[in-house]
Amino acid sequence: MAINDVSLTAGMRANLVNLQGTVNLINRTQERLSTGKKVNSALDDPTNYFVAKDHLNRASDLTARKDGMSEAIQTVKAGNAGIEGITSLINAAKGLTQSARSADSAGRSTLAAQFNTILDQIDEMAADSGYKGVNLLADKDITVDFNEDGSNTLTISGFDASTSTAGLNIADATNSWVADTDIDGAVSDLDQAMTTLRSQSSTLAANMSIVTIRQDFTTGMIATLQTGADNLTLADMNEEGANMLMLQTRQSLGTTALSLASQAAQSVLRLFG
Amino acid sequence: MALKISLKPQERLILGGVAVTVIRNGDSANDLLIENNVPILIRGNDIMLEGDANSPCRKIYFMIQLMYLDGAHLAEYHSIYWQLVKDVVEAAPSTIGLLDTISEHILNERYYKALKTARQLINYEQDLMRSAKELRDDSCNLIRT
Repeated sequence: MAINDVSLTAGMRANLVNLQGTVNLINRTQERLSTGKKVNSALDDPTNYFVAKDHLNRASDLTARKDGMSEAIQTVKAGNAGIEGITSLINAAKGLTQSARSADSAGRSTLAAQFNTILDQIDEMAADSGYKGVNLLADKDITVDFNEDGSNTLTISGFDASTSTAGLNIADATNSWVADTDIDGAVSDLDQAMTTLRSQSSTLAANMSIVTIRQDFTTGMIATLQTGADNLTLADMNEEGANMLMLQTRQSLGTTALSLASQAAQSVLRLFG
Repeated sequence: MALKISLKPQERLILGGVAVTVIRNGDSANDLLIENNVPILIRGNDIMLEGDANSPCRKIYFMIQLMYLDGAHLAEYHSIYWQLVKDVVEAAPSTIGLLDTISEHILNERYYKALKTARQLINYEQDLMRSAKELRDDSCNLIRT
């Protein structure tokens, strides 16, 4: 093929030439390196060996921290499942109040008894929503450590999700629901309990997303430390320099998307342009 | 202890935790004393614009800056950050120590310190690239001739 058959812009041509140059360079440095890992034991290159070992130790420290975050997430999930269960029980209880409005006094009395049974179930569910001894729905808190010295923590506060006055505050059915006002009282209790549950549930969700983001980040850290430690023994300044140039060229060719500065960030950055 | 910052005329400063505030100095040089513990702060000179993020480590610096400026999209920024970090660690494993320090600062939301360390990373990257670049340019000349 004649050289003119494919037309390249000046920028593309420069990139191509850079790329070819870098490939040459990498081949040359790699030829000089022996096969396999340069450092296999502490005797070969003590510094790199121990630095690599440090990184692996740190990766395992971080794993412990990540486990703590996983536990917290499990605890929040258990609490959340409890909230969902209690929400559907409250809906069921609300259904009973509606039926009661059109029922005769005997019917009302039966429905009132069922209502009380549901309240008991809510209490049981609130009591059973713990994970490994921490129950957010029994007003217990959980503290997640993001670092070893405990200077960066997040406390996720629980609340009392039982029907007691300290909790959702739903009173037992009064007077077997003989009067309409007895039923009104129950309905207003249920509505208030629902509002409390919704707001607690959204707080828990927000906290959970904070912990999840940190957990994902820690996972990235661990993976990076392990990759780095594995490759550290291969390190050679010339080769690394060549690799970095290669990476720079590859990124400039657009294989790594970076132009993701959001609107919020753009508006601030514009001030500095 | 108050943190003292000397601002040149018209120099800008980003300050704040939840809401990001941009402060611009007037026409005279001023000393600014920050009396409480402000989580993050970037000075005008330390702001990197997207167009200047033209090397692997400069891109990492830019991403950290975005995490600070726009906390609402942390998850996205984190995933791009790790992609960038992975590429750099694979290309130059000796960067791992600095990258670990930076990541630790990010995890603890100390973005100012993270940016400072990222600045060191950029300097290190320049050192690595400088000699390789000379060698490459020789190679390029060979290809051209």
